[in-house]
Amino acid sequence: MFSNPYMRVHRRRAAHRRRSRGPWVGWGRALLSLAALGVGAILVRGVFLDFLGESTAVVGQGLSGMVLRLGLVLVGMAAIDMYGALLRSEDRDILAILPVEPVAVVLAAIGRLILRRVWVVPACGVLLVPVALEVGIWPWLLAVAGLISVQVFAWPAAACTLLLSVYVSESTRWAPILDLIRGPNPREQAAFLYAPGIVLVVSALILFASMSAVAGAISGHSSALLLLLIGPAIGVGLGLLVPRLARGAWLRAAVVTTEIDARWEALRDHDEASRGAVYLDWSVRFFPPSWRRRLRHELRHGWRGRRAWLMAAWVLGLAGAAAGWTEAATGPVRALSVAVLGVALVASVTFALERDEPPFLRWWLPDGPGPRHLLRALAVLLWVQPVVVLSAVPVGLFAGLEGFGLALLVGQTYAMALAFWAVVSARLGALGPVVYAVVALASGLLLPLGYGLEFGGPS
Amino acid sequence: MSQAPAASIQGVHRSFGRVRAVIDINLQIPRGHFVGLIGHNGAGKSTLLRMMIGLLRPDRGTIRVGGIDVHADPLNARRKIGAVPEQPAVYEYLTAREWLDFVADVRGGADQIEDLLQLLDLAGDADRLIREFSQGMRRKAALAAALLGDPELIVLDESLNGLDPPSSARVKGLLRAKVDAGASVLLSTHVVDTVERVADRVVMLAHGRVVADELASDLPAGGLEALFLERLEQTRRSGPEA
Repeated sequence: MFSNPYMRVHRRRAAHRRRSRGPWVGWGRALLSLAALGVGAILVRGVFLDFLGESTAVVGQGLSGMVLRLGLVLVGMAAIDMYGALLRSEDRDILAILPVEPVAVVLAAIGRLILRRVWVVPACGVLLVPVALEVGIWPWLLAVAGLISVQVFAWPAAACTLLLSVYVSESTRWAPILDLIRGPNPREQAAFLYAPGIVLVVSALILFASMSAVAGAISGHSSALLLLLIGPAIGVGLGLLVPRLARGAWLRAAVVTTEIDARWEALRDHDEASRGAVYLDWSVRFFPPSWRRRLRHELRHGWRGRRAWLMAAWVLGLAGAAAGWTEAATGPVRALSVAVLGVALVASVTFALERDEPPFLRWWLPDGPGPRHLLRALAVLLWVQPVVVLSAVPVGLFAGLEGFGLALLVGQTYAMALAFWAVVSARLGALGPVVYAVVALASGLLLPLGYGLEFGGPS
Repeated sequence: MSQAPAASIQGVHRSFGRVRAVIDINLQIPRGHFVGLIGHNGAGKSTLLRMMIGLLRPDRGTIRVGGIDVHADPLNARRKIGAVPEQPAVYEYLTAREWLDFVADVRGGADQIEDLLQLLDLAGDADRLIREFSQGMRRKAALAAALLGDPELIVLDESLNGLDPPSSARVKGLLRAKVDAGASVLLSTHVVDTVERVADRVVMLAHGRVVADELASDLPAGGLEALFLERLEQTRRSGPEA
């Protein structure tokens, strides 16, 4: 790996980048991450680990549930990261015109990704520290081992799935299915869009094995520990397949991605504004006519460029609803905790939008009148609605109409404030994500606490 | 070095939905030729060049570089091509020298790095990060990378834009030397003047079709612009689909 020229060049670039940015950004990020982990551990203890004082069997079940939740995060991150690393890396334009060795490029891309994300499992371990403190080190070690097992499987599984998706995108046998599911996208893009979902599906077995291992071992069945080996064993097998798949797929992917981009560029059709309706397009009719073109532009930008980010709002909304689905007094606080985290994550899409406005959009929907930044914040507010509304539903069911109203009011106020703050922060360059995260974290901690006091639940 | 033409384009056609970007193009570029490709915005130049460097597949037809089909054997074809896209793609967080070291690792030509830095007037800035470079300097860094390893075909998409006159003269001189040494250059531009000064042969594209393919020596002095406008007008009158 260390004689790989693509890895070498990455190390050089990283060193220059660190030097150019100065030490403060790196230290700032490290401190912020530690603060975030500390806050996260407190929130996780309050929201997800209330089983810690229960019997061994309940602790085993609860901890296996945590392995499932955190494991899903690990698999999801691996799938989306791998898509970026293998198919849409920032240096693909550079490498695609050079006679590069595809296997070395892919191995370097995976190596870079692993180095970039090596902190995630330890961070999960920190979030679970209350388990070690209140129950013992052994259950904590088991949960961390379960997550390592998932992670060791997820990276090669994601790499293989995404490399295979290149073949699928070009296959005539798969063409009818891709046409069925592609929506307004080019056919080739459908294979890429659904690949992260396939990674989640194929990881289900390993997640189940890790959960069973944790629950079984805590209940005293030490043979259940063997289940932890399934993920790494299959992961190593898939890892051995990566070079074979990379040889054909990487160069073909260069053609497929250029094809997709060229098709979008070729769709320089002004009718698109009225013809190809996108997610939430209907909402523009409620705004003044002079604002509509710009708002439509923002909605298209998000939908075309960051669809997965926007759709995550529905998943996070359901997660909020699930967290609050209890008659216990903690229900509203749990729902709100997930909702504020979800709103903060979805609203952070503005950082990506600030960077990557596609040229075809400038052609389709040139800048119109209307306050651009206000309208971007409005688009963000529309995108986060599923998080706010779905999280408030169980509050209404279990705490009555007044509780529902208060949950909606708090959620919408927070969403509005954060949408504007995200747009402002995205304009601040390298410091933007830091200041955004500080405010999001602080408000994310204080809001559920204040809300808990109002409801009389534990805060 | 094989005796096949530097590039051979046969019956290449490419459309995007209803838009026909390149229509049945046949073109041979012999070795040691400097070919200028001119056309209006949207004529199909960039689509043709993307197909030539293997980034886009034609709907039909074949493209060979040095006798190698660029889509059937992309890796070997890329070894024969040095390309500079319209937006030069370079690693911004590398110095110019590190950037060329990296490209030489990939395609060979490490012994040419210092010469190229001198010839392109980048030697004094070779240890500065590329992100601090002007647009013209970035183009020169990208061009130096494209020339490493002595490719048989050098494909340049609007690559002389943004260069100051001394740099432009240096680059043209360097490209001419490469052509004299047996390489071929395909330079795409919409600036007629540039082509008139450096190319041995001029190919005009309009609405996806080749509308003229002339030796520069056959054109009257300053006559390229008139010919271009005349052919463009003819195409317009007969309709782009003619």
